[in-house]
Amino acid sequence: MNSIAIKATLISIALSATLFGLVTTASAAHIHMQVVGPAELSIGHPADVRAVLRSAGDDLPVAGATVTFYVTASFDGANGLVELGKAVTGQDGVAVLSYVPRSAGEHEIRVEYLTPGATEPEVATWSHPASGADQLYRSTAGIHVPGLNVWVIIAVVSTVWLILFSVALRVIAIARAGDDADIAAGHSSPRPAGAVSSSTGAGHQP
Amino acid sequence: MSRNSDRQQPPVTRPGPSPSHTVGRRGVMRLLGFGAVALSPLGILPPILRATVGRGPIHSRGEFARAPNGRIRQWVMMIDLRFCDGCQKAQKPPLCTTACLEGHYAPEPMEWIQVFEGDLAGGGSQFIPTPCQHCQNAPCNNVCPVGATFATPEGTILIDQDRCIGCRICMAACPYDRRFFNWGKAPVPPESLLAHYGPEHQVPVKKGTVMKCDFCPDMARAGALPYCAQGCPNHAIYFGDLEEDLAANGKDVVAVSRFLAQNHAYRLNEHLGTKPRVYYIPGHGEAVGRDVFTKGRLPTRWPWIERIKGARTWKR
Amino acid sequence: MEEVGTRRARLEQTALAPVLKTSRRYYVWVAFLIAVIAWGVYAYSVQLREGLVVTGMRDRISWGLYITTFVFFIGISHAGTLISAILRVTQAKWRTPVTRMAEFITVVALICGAMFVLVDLGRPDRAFNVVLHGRWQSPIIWDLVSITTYLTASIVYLGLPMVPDLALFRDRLVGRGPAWRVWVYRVGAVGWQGGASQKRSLGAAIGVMMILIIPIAVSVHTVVSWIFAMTLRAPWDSTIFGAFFVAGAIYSGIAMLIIVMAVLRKVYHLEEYITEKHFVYLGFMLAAFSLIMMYGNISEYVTAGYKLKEGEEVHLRQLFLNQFAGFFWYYFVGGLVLPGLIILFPWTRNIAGIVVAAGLAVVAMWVERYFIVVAGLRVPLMPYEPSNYAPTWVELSVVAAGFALFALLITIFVKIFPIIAVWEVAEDLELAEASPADGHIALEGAMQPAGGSQ
Repeated sequence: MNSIAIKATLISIALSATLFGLVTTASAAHIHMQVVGPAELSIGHPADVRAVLRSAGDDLPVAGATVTFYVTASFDGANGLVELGKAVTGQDGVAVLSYVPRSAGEHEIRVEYLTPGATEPEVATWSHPASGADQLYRSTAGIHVPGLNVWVIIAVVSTVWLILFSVALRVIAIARAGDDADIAAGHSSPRPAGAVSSSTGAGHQP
Repeated sequence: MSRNSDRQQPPVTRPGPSPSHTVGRRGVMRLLGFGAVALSPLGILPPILRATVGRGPIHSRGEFARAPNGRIRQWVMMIDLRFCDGCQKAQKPPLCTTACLEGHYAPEPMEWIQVFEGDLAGGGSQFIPTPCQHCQNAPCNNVCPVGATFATPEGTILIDQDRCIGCRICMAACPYDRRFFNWGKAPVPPESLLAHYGPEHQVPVKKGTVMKCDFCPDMARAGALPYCAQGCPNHAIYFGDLEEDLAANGKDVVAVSRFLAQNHAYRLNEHLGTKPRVYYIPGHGEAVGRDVFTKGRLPTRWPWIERIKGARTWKR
Repeated sequence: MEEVGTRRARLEQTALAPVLKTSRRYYVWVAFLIAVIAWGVYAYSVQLREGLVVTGMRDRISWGLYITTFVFFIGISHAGTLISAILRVTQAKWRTPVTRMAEFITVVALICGAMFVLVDLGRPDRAFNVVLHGRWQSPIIWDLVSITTYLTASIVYLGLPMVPDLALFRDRLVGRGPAWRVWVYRVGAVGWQGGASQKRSLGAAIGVMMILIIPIAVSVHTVVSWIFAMTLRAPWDSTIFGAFFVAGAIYSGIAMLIIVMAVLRKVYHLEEYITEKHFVYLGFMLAAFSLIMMYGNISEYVTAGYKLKEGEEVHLRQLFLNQFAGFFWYYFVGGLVLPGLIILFPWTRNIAGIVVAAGLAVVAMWVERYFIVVAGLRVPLMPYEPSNYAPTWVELSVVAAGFALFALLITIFVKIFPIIAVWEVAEDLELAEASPADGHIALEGAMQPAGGSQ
């Protein structure tokens, strides 16, 4: 009887130790992370990029984990990872980031998760080319001066000059009437003073 | 017009102005109509003159700067003031300014990017490197009578010194003190006179015209950072493209929208509505070890050993 | 009562006298003016050679004496519009002896003002770019268009009422004086014979012009003020700039007219036609506009000073207490309050007093333009120490030459063209003769027996 009890205890200890060992190792190092990206990436249109965290052993979702999203990029001679943001996994173990692809070419999204206590982060990547060549930004400088309609200015200025033009016509009328009076009177010498203003009546020698 | 007439014409008595000798109503209408037709090209006359007699549109402008898939770049600059200490630690005059003026042969006393020391509201001071802000509602561009200051599709504001008449209304209009006038024969080194002038490369200087920072368009198009960004030892100046949402400071690449949003970026004199393309991340150089109460920076120096003959400098 | 004929004859004689006789004093005066202008031309040549660095302007204060004087002269040019046009529209009969001088001043002031813009340019060789490449959105182009229109309209408005007088000169001066002068009169008189249809046409033309020129003049100084108000500088960022500048222009125009009137009256013995009443009436208008100016200033400074936004405090301190205090308080007290008081009190309300008031006002208006331009630019935009502006000999010489040119052009005008609107004054004399009982108040002086006109 004693030997059976001892064997049973030993076996159960061994089993629980094994089980315990299995459990701890599963929760310690084996988190499986997967990046699920959208089917299409179009420049300027937001798309969801998901990071799915599951424990490796029992394939249970890992909730409340903060993951960091990066995209590799290069600009003006510098290459590197551009941090896009952080997201926290929900109950379903999924962290979502809304990503708006802006640059042309291949987009490689890299997700990192640093397990508490670990030194190396878990990394998963996903790559997809982005399509579309629509200009998203337009420079607004100098194209539109708000509130000012140039044609109003042109119309006002033209009207004023037309009126000046009509005054010029009057002056021409005066000149022509002067020619008339010349013909009518048939004189050949400078008019006496009285003719300057017809209302003064008789001429008066200065 | 009256004629000194010696004619022997029979006097013709007329009761009053006869229709044939005054400009009658119909005649007036005809002439007015003609006048209107004559005046209507007023609006299109300048373009006609430009195309025929004038020089045409701004010349010597390079191709638009484009991203790999053909979209036009939208240049933006971000200055991280947490990393700017006025080059106190380097114990030199601000190196962004030095790099700019050396690269462009900017004459004394022009500092196209100028490091101002501003007082912080809570005490202490911060250094604010201030290039041209390349406003999207640029007052200088709006008031220029001849279009010598013009906006490019990349969002930068450039000056065509061949068209500038030197009226200086743009200098009165700029609210950031970023425009500089060539008051006399500018004190630049003789080798600058050999350069080929263009609005994107303002060398050599032209007397009587206005100049300013231009975001180094020739370098930016080729994929290099502007002189100021290259010159900063702390990599405080980021230069980037809003279209591709990327910027770099010589060391790191960042996503412009995220960088600006999560660092609480602001712009200078936002309330004026100029919509600048230069953003600032608040700080006082703490990331490179500057104490907020340490005041003063070294004055800028122009390193030309030799200057062109007859040049003299002036104070700003 | 004198016979209308003799009065008429005396009027014509007075109008012809300046053209017929030239005293030695005249030549000395012209020589002096030409000397000043020549020195100014030399100074400008220095500026052309060396660049604007020879002036006191720099990056921080990039406008100075030249723009000040430009705005000042454009303001003076409103003299003609007010007297000639507004008083003609309101049918104020007392205006007739002074309309010609007012219209002279307008044309000459516009020419001098336009000159100062060109002098201020860094690249005057490219000045034509404003026509080739002009942008309608720019305040400077608005300036160009409105000043050109105003100059054209003013020349027309000067020439039209002068037609009958030029006809008088044409008829009287044949054979006397140089032939080119008679040719000028012949061309200017456009065949005037005094016929009924001609009078109708002239009346219609003058009627159109007198109404048209008022909005043109208002627009001119409004767009000149918008060169400042369309910028973001704190002292200039004011919505009332347009109205304020127009009021200031009319004020300085009246003041300059009073001064020119007094000088010409003395030199050419026009006492019979330009009497104390004219000075008093213009003085009343001066006082009225000084009140308007005071109101405008108080509106601006009280509303800004109550709030003390960034930049406003620096500006108000430099204006009221520090660098520009002398300028500002001379302008306000010496140039607005004092002329108003001189005209208010009866014992100073005489020709001498009013001319002194006008002198104070004219200088004050130049000073006002100066501190609007310079103090406006001095307020710092970024954290730096404000600069200071000190005009150099080049700027002072060119400004002096501009004033000398103004005086010279008027002096030459007087030698060629009639300085009094003979036919209008004659008409008034006849009307007064026809109905002596209800003769207009302003003609009392002219109607009284000789000796009682002062």
